[in-house]
Amino acid sequence: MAGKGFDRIAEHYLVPTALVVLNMAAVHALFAHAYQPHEPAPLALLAVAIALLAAALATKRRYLLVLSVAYYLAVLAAAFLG
Amino acid sequence: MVPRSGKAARNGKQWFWQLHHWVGLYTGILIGVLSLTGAVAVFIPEIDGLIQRHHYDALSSASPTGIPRFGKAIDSLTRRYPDHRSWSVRLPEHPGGVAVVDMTIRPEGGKARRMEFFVDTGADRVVGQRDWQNSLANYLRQMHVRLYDGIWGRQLVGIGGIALAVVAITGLIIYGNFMKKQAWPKIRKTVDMRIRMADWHKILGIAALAFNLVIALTGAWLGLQPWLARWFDIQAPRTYKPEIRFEAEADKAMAIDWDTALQAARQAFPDLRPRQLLASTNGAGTITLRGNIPGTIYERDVNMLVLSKTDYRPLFVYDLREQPAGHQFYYIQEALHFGDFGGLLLKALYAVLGLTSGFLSISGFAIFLFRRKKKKRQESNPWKAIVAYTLLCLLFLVGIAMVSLFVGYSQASTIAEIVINALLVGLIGYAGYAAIRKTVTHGR
Repeated sequence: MAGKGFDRIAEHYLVPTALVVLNMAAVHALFAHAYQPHEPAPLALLAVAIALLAAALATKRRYLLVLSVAYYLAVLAAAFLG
Repeated sequence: MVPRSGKAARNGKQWFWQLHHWVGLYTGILIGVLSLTGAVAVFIPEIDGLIQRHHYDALSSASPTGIPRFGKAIDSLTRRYPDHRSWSVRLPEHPGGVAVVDMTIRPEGGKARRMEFFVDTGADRVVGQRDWQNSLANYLRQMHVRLYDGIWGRQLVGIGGIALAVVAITGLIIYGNFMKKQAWPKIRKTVDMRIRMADWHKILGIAALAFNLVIALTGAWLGLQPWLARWFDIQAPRTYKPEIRFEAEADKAMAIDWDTALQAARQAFPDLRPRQLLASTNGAGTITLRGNIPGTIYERDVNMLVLSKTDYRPLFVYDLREQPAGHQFYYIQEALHFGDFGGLLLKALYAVLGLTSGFLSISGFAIFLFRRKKKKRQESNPWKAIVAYTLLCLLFLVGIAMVSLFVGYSQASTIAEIVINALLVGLIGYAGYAAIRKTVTHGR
């Protein structure tokens, strides 16, 4: 795990997944910013997703990487269903 | 970069590395050119708006009714060019912007010309004009969409999209083997340029992978669409064939009250923001309004409303939100490719991420050259080759732009076709020669 040496699962699998999701979240947030500037809820949810992903990529903790990816996917699903 | 008999070979990823290496090497220049032209192409509407405003001094005064007025301007143009074949109006997207009348004019026995006329929508008069084909906006689009090669430029761009998808997917597959115990985004401290380039290649490649994959797949579809449509009998889903009710000349001469038409459109399709208006000239007696629905991710002007010219009642409504998923999937490609769905900030993000594929093609080429230099103990400086190729690409882009803007589109297109096809023949010839030489060497 982070701080105790090299975590292969985090570095080789979870970091790339988080980066893929960060690409999506960034585009999603700018889209929401352009078309829902007066609705703070979607923007706030997306801002939290980006902050979580950034924190996860900075710390490289497995649980945070998984949590941040899962959180954004939940926000994305909510956007589609809502 | 990876040991030939090392870990990658043992776990079966050597094949993916070979694919990444050769596809990247042979299509790197194409990907680099498309990356640069694409990063500029996302801003075409904004660039063209600035050119209209500052080069042509084409500005609109405020309309007294708030509704753009262009009826008198169109009447004057249709009288001035009685041999026009068709015309359409693009409404301004921003206050102060002009409406653009796009008119195809074909004099008897002459060659068709596509002209654009700028209309002040407050004063309802023409304030400027240009030959559309020789415009910068057309150059930027045609260079990215077909490399100015009318023969198979569009298909080449589609193949570039497939190549980018292949290098993105194989890059992801081999990522772990290349990073080994290196953490993202660490750049190793070394004077070895190959290692530094390799680190940047891996770090930026994985950081923009999702974006590049989307661009690659949508670009492959858009580029290869003519072939795919023919092979798999794919039709554009939005189809409307109006009944012919009048003589063509009577239809052309029919007066249109555009205020009434726009108000009727607002009632029939309230969410539509009309951007492009067309009046039939073939006897159908229709007015077609194409436009966008804010907050949706579809290509420009795909939603459509057709009104009758005689009584302005709706004849056909195409609201993409209510169409099957297949229609929506078909029309999402272009918006996803050009980032035309989230304002200027999204376009800026698209431009930055889009440039990563250009950097990856240059850094990949640098890794190849530095590795070859080390392997063959060469004295030459690989940067010379990299700078030479980059400058030649820029020279091609700038040269074609100059010819297109100051001489003409068709001359620029002819030069581009000669250059691109000669390069293509050279590349295929070289690849064939290299393959034969390798086979013969291995045979000995």
